[in-house]
Amino acid sequence: MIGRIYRLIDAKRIEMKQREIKCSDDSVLVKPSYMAICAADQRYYLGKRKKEIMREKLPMALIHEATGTVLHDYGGQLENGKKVVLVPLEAAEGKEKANYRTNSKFASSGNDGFMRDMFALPRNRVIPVKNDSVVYVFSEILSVALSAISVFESTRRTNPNAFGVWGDGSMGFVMCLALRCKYPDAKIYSFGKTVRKSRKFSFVTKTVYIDNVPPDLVVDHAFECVGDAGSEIAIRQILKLILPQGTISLLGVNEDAVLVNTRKILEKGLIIIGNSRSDEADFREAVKLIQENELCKKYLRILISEIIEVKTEDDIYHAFDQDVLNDFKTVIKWAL
Amino acid sequence: MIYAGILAAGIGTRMHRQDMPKQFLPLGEKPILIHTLEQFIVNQKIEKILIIVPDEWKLYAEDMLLQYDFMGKEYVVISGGVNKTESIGTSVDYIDEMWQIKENDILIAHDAIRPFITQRLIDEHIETVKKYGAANTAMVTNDAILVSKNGTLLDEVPNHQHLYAEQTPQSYSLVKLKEFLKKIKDRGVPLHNENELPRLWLKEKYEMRLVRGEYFNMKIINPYDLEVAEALLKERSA
Repeated sequence: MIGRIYRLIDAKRIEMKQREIKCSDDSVLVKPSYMAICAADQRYYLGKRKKEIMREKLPMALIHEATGTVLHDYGGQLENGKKVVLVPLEAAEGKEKANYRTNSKFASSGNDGFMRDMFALPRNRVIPVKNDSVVYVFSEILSVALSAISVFESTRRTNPNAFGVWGDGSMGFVMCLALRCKYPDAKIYSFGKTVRKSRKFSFVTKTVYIDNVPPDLVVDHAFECVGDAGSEIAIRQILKLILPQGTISLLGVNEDAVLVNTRKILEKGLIIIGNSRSDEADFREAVKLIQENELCKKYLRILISEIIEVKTEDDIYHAFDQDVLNDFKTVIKWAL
Repeated sequence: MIYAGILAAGIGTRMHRQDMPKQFLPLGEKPILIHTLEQFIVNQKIEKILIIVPDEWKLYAEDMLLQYDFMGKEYVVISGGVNKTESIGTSVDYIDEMWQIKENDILIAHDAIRPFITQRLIDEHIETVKKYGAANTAMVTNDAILVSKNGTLLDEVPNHQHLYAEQTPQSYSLVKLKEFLKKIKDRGVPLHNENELPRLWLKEKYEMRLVRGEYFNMKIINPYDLEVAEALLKERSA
C-alpha cells in the first residue's frame, strides 16, 4: 500500500514523502480523521526547540493527538469504517509505567507523528469509539490529565478538598475538567492571567488572576500546567498557597531550567510529581470518560478555537500559523 | 453504488525491456496494478471494482490477482477495448448488464499505471460527481504547450494560464454516461476512434468539473517513469 507522510524538515518547512506501508496480521490500517495541534508540535514547527534537538529529531511528522477511521484490520477484529482514537505511545518492554520506560517511543517526538494520509498501527494502539465526534481528538490531552490524577491519588497524603490548577491554556482547561469529573464536590481554583481565556473555565469553583489572589485562598494540592517561562512564577505562587503535606503535580513543559525554592518544599513537606504523556490504560480511561460523561464531552467541545480543513500542503501551513493566534485548540479536519 | 473502473487494457509498447503490459510490472515489491488497486480497495465509498485488462492477458490477471488481499471488496476482471474510451464503454455495458445502472450510481475510471492516486482524489471525485455529474482530474502544467500540426512548424502557443494536464480519475454519473453513450452510438460515432472521452462529452454539451490533481499522480509509461516511481518509493518503510 502506497502511503504519504508529511514531515517537518526544518522550521516551517514540510515535505511530503511517499512510501510503501508494511502491514502484518497485528496491524490496523487507519486514515486520520481529526488532529489537534499541541504546544509541543508547535515548538517544533516554529523552530523553538534547541538547534541540536531540531537536528536530531527532524525530519519528523508532527501530531500526536488524533482520531482515525479503520480502513482495514488485518486481524479481522475491527470492522472497516470503525472510528478510533490513535495512541501515540509505542511502549517498550519494562516494569515502569509504559510512558516512562526509557526505550518507549512517542509519535511526533522522535518517532513520526500522525500527519500522513494512512498508516498501519498495532491493534493495541487504536481504541474504538462510538462515533465520529470531534471531541475524541482530545483523548490524548485528557489521558495526560487522568494519568496525572491517577499518580496523584496513589501519592497524596492529605485530603483532596481544594485543588489549584495553574495555567489558563488547553492543558489547564483539561486538567480542571478532569478534576471536576473525578472530584465533583471538591473546590477547583483555576489560576490564570488572561481574562478572555479564563472565561471559558465556567465549571470551576473560581477563576483566580495570578496578580490578584484573594488573601485567604489556599489549596490542598496543585497542578502546574503553565510551562515555558511562566512555570517558574507559577511554582513560586504554588509554594506560597499550598498547604503543608500537599502534592504539586508538574505538567508544563519547559525548554530551560527553572528556579525552585526548595526551602519552601522542605518547610511544608511537599511532594512533587513529574508528569509526562500517558499510556494505553490512560487512553482507555479518557475514552470511557468522554463516552459516559456527557458534561465532559460538552465542555471538551468548547476547547476548540477553530477547525481547519486540510486538503493541500498549504493548508497544513495555514493550520499551524493560525494555531499561534488561537487561545485554545486548533483542530485539523484531515482530508489529504 | 460507486464503482471503480481500473483501466489496465493497455499493451505498453513503450516499456521495451519487458514482454508484458506495464501495469503488470513490479514497482517495489508489487505489480503497478496492485498498488493502484489497493487505494480503491481501502476506500470505504468504493463498493465494486472492475479491472479492465487486454483480452489476451485476462487469465494472467485473474491468476495474479488471486495472490493479493482484496479485503473482502468485490471485484471482476473484464476484457477492455482498444483505447480508454472503448474500455469505459465496455465497463458501462457490463455494469448495466450485471447490476442494472441506477439513479445515483457513479463510475470512477482510473489508469492502472497511475499508482500514486490518493484518497483525497478519490473522495473529491465522488463528491464532485454527486454534485455535477462528471469530473476530470487536472493539473497545472509547468511547461508551456506548443501546437504544431506537422511536428516541425510551430502553429500556435496557447495561453499557458488556461492549460492543464489531464490525469485520471475521470468520473461520471452512470445514468448520464449511459445516456451519452447511447446518443453517440445512435449517431454512429465509433468509440475506438476517440482516445479522449471528455472531448466527446463536451461536444455533446455535457458538463464536466475539474478536480485538482497531484504532480506525483504520474503515469508510468516508459522505463524512465518506472525509475522515477521506484525512486519515489525508496523511503524507509512505515
